[in-house]
Amino acid sequence: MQNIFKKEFVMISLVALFSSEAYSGPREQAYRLHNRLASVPPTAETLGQMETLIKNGNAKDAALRAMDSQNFYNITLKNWVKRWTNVDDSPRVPLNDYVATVIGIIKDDIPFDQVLYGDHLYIAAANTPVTIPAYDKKNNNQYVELENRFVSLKDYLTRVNQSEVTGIKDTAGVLTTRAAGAAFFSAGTNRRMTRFTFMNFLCRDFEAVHDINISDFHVRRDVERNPGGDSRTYRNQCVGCHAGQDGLGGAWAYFDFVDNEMKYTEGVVVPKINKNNLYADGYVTTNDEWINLWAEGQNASLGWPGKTTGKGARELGMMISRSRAFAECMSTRVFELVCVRKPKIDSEKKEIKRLADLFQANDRFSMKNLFAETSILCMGE
Amino acid sequence: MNTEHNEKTPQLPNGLRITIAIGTLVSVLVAFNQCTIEKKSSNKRSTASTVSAPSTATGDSSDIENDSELPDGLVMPPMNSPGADSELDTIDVGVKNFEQIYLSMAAVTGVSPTTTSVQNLYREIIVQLPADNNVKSFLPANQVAITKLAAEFCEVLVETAALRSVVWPTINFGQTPTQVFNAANKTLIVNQAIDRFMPPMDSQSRTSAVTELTKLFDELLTGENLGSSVTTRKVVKGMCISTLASAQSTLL
Repeated sequence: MQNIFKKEFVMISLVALFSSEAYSGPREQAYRLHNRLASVPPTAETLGQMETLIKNGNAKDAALRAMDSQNFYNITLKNWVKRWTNVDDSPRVPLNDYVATVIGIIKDDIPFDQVLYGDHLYIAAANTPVTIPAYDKKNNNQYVELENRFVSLKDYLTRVNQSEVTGIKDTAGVLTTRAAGAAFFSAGTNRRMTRFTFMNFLCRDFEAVHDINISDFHVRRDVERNPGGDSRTYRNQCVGCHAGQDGLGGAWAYFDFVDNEMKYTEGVVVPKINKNNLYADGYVTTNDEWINLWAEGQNASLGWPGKTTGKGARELGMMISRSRAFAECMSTRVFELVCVRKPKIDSEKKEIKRLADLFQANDRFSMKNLFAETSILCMGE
Repeated sequence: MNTEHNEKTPQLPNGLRITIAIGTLVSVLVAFNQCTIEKKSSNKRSTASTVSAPSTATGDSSDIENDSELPDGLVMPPMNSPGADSELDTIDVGVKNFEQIYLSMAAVTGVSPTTTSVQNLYREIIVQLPADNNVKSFLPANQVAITKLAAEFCEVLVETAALRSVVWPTINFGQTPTQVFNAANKTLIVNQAIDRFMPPMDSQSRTSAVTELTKLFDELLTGENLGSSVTTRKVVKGMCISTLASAQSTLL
């Protein structure tokens, strides 16, 4: 019997696989749109409604109909954002405050640039239909339970002021959530936070912004100036990333993640930042001021806003999220999610720019609108 | 003897012989062009125009532009011209990840994702299910896990009267195969499984699926006890698994 199953299964799978490209009418388009936005097949009723909308030329409304599903938040967005919250880029991690806050911002259609500087935190609503542990800044239990109990994140996440709940004065959206702290502030020298913020929100790792032509006056004392006894290595390699990132790193000077919680010590630089002294004349961090040295030179092409110096995490988050690279990165990420591939041909790359324009227009930064506009680009011919 | 034979064969004019040789060569090249003509869409540099070689070059403007930038003696191999829209020939589908598969199965079968048996199995095999939506990283082990999960969902579905009556409302699962599996009911069971578990299909694909599933139906019944209602449910579970775990159901 097992053999029969195997044989027939393979046959059915192949027949089905090859036939999937054969035809794509409004019904098939509606199905694909729903499947990609909500991650699960539509009910017959929803499929019918979406099919009618597509037939009538309202594909965007059909996409918005699919996004009404709680599964858009509980599955699609959750799995999308989970990868941003750990250094392994894995979706196999529990729900956390970082993911919940991104979902909440999209759910309430708050301008998405605030994801990096808004004083937002999303926690379980008081009317959650199942018993959920209270929010605790020392653990992630509330979010684990929300996920395990399949609670609708669309319906039972509520916004609070992050600073009031956590006691952190300089909140910066998801960057100062507990999950972000656990992943990027624990141990080390807080440089991880800058790197992963660039990777997640500007779609660039440091190799992509590597520039050895800028001044290294902000490179800290823990960077050896002659690694392996050869100062050329420092000049030609190390400085390419450190000059820029150490300039920005001051923003995290008061942050640390110890004893399972985020610590913010206003006015006191955390000891780990200046601890290692491999080059005494290197930069010593004395406060949370930062400067974006990458605003000049080759990385000016990231389209930075006018203000490229500041104090603290919130101002840094604001500068990053108001850059052109942020808008294009978010458009690209959404495209990759709903089209299940990278934009390839010129026309698609132009579409990414158009979507980024749309995203930034009038400072709306509507992620919902970006999803709807992007998903209809690849719902099938 | 061969020599004698050759001597007797009338010699063709040289021009005609050359024409035939060229014609043969061209037809061989055309017939086997996949071996000699490389797809133009490749964006990578290669060591020769017809043979691909590993390269770390991205092919964008940041790469070395001319030979003068290379160390002495090195010559930059020619870069294939990037294709236009042909790059879209690549796969335009994805595969659902672990949670998408789990909750999709729950949605179409009506089995709650908190059902102990399915949840236990899911937790056990979660790492064997696809981690992301990249269809190129899909492995046979993923398909085995998907089939296992589908089997558990179908088990709960077919053994729960309230759930199975939603998918197959007119089928009496208390009857034996002899009583219930007439031609009309077989077609009904297959069609209702397709409607419920698979995406909309054009008529040609649907006919193919129905034909294959009907064959499966008969093969599953072969050698089984046709006087027991247990067999009825077992065979319907088979139909359920083969549709629920099919590529159509797990593709994005």
